[in-house]
Amino acid sequence: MGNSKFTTHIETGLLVAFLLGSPGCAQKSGLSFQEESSQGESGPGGNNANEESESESNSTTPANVRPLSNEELNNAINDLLLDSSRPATLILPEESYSPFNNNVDLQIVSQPWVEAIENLAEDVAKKFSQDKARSERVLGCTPITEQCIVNFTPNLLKLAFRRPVEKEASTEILKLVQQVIKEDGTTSSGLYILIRYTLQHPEFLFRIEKNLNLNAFELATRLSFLLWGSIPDNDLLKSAENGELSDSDGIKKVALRMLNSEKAADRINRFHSMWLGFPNMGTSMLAQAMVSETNALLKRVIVTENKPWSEIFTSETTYLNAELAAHYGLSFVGNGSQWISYGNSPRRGIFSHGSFLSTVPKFGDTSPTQRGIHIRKRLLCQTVPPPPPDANVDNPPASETGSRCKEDRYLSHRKAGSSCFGCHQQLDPIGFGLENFDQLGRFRTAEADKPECVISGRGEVAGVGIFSGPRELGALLINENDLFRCVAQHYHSYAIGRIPQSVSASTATKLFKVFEEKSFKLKDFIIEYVASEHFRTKSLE
Amino acid sequence: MKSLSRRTFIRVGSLSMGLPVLDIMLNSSGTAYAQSNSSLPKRFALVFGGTSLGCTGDSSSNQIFPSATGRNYTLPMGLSSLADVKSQVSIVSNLLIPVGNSAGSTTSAFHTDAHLPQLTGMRIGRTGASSDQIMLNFLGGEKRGLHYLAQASYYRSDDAPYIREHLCFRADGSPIVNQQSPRAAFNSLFSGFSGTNETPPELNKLQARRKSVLDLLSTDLTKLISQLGSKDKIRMEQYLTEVREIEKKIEVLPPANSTNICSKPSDPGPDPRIGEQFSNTAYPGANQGYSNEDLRAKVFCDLIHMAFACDLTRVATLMITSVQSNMNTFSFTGHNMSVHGVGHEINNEAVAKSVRWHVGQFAYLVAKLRDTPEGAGNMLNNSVICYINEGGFGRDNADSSANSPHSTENMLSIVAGQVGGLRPGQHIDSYEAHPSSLLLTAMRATGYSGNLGEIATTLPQLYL
Repeated sequence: MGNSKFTTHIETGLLVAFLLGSPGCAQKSGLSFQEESSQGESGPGGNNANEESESESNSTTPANVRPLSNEELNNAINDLLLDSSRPATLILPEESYSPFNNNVDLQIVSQPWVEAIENLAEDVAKKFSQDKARSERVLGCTPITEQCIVNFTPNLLKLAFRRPVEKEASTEILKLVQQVIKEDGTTSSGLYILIRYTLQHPEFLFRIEKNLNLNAFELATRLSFLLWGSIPDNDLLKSAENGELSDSDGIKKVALRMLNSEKAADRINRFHSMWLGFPNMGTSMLAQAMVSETNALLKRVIVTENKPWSEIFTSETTYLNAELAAHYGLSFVGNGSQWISYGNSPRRGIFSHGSFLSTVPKFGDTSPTQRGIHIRKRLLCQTVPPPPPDANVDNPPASETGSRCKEDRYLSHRKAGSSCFGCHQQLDPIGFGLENFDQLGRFRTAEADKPECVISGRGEVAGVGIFSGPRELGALLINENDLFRCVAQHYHSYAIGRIPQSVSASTATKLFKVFEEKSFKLKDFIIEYVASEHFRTKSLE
Repeated sequence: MKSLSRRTFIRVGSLSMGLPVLDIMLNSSGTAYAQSNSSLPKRFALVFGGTSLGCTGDSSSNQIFPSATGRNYTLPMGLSSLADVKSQVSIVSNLLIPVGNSAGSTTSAFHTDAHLPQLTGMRIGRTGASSDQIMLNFLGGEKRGLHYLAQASYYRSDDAPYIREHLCFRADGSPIVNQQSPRAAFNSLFSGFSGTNETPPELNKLQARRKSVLDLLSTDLTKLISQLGSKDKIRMEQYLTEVREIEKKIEVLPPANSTNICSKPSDPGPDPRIGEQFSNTAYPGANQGYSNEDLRAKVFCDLIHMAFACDLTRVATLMITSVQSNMNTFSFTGHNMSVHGVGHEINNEAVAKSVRWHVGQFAYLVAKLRDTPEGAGNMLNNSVICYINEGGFGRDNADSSANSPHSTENMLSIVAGQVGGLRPGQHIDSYEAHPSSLLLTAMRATGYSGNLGEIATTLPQLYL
């Protein structure tokens, strides 16, 4: 075996590892991968899939069909059946993040997945059919009669499949349901069979788009998965039916309505946590407080106040409880959680949060190199080639002077004239500017076990400027267009289920311009974006 | 006594069922099927531990490699979990995968490339079927192999885990996805068996309904596939294939009553929760943890054992921990550190404890097979189980520094079973044989006569 497309050891993106060509390091706007992947159609005017010729679809349309992610399944099942047990997380294989969990290339269909889905369907259906209160509530009948189930089925299928369902589609399953009810003398058996069938159905489990110019229901589905992380509700389906999604203004109105839901704030938080690299913070009280801290900031700036998105990097206040404040060394008075001011501390915005600071640790500590890579790749969308194969990345760098201090040890990456210098001088100084903040987000003046190793906290983003600490880093980066271009590009890739590197440079530039026109207010950008050709067509770049 | 043919089926209702090996099918010495005189089913299993065999820079004695060779050797601490099955296993040390460009060679990139040549016998850059796939073809009839992964999570927040959690590969290089849910694995194998809680008629009714739902889904899928573009079709066809596989399994059911060695194992219940034990608090954003992999591995071993006993399959693989594993080892090393981390940041003794735990899962499976009578002997007589690791301990594959876990020198593997005349109970120095040679020897013992990738040599000492 060997180098299938899965072979990579540092990069998380599948394609990036092969595109090493760049002689320098950290190319700006290194998004020129369109030759690789942009074979898809974009723009309006494509034919309806039913009219597509065989040769057209064979040669130019890459695979688009993908299963729902675990969290999408959890949310959809909750919406359909009021089941909040997160059943997909309990039995399906864990998702991978690249950096999002809806990457069409990674979400393959495998025997373990299909078997686990059958288990999931059985569990959920059994629980539902045996839960009298819940099933009566969902079906809207007390008690549940056979006729009730017959009436319920078309709407269940419509919601589950995200489209109007012909009467005939219910016929076969209802035959089976009625047979089972007759055999067992109880309606709960019939309900069990119905739910089991629905949850295993391909039109429930998979994102399917048959049209190049998405029809109203396909668009409604895209909207609800992007903005809500779940299936459309009855109102959204009705809007699709009424033609409200047939033009740009109509879509914007609907999107605005959707963004006012709590589900939308959750999605924006999830997008950021995946984009910035902390999708699974764990269950400890401290970790949960950090999640709340970041969620509160994102929601306030982006949703509630609709301020320019850059404020998430410059915010002067943060949302803490007493435990987290003590952890950060910030003063806190009162009970519960509240917004407190950073005051004179070097903290501002999300770069100060434990969530962000906990990403990419190494050797039981922060890694200035990893933090530098993370910021260049993830926040600025720059290309960072992996280290050469003979570089031993599993051992901490050692100083030639024998000094135990990190600043000295990491200088071995930047020996003048060495082949390591080119990349590392772009990376390590960024991380060193954050070194006063450990991998738990605590402030430190010296290394944990070496009080003689005082941390200078001096850093630099080569080509941009010098800084020390999260406050100054935020102030530096919000002046870089690349930051805004990069988040827009990531948002688009998240919307279409492709890795960010597959978005072409020209698309990223167009999206940046939209973001700019909206004064970099993310909510306004999102509304504009979902009404644009990038979202309304089955484009792949 | 009249003997039954191996192919006898029982009809129950509208479903027919195959039978596992019943005494009545065997010849008088219990070594072959009475009617056809073909031998008892042979099984091949592979168990993998995501460890190397030492810690960076630690030159102290590492408590894994036995000193004496032959049949009178002592098990060091790192292999002490083999104590109960010592006579049933042979240990092969001093295995080596060369770095460079030769048959079965690896590269300097350790975590991506070190474990692969061992599995397929191919040098990096060439694809080939892994040993289990070859065995499946040779031994397995039409039955699919079992492919399990005990490690329940990648245990890091922001990296994609793929490649690190694949053990088995088809000839074209595509990986086989492992099942990580013990519960799903249990149901996949045994949902057709009646246990103590349901009568055969009840079970038949449930299975028939299950099949009806799957039938409907197959029809809907077929219709949907016809409406999709060609590349989308492929994905949906994969789903249809798997649905049909499940239906096929429902059609070929085991007997409703237990037989001498084949019976429905106890239901493992819901899977242990993920990541909620021994989280490494130094990495709050990186969900490093433990999900009772000890129990998960034991359940998978139970399933493999019973799947063999019921002849539901002849080939099984168990990846205990992934390559470069982030699973927390606190419960068996006492250190709040990942499997990968102990090999870089603790010491040889901690690595030995980690190896001991991994090898213990293998020993558990070996003991179960040994303790299950079959024919005139036991199941292990007709099986071969191999245990392999990710790496060895020696010169670093990248920079040749000494005492490195990123080395494919001094690798060690274990083989259990007596199929084909294998004579376990020894420690063998392989004199730098390729670890695929051990796998190939195991494969040849089942009667297979081909090679494993580019590796054609075996270890004849395993027969002496």
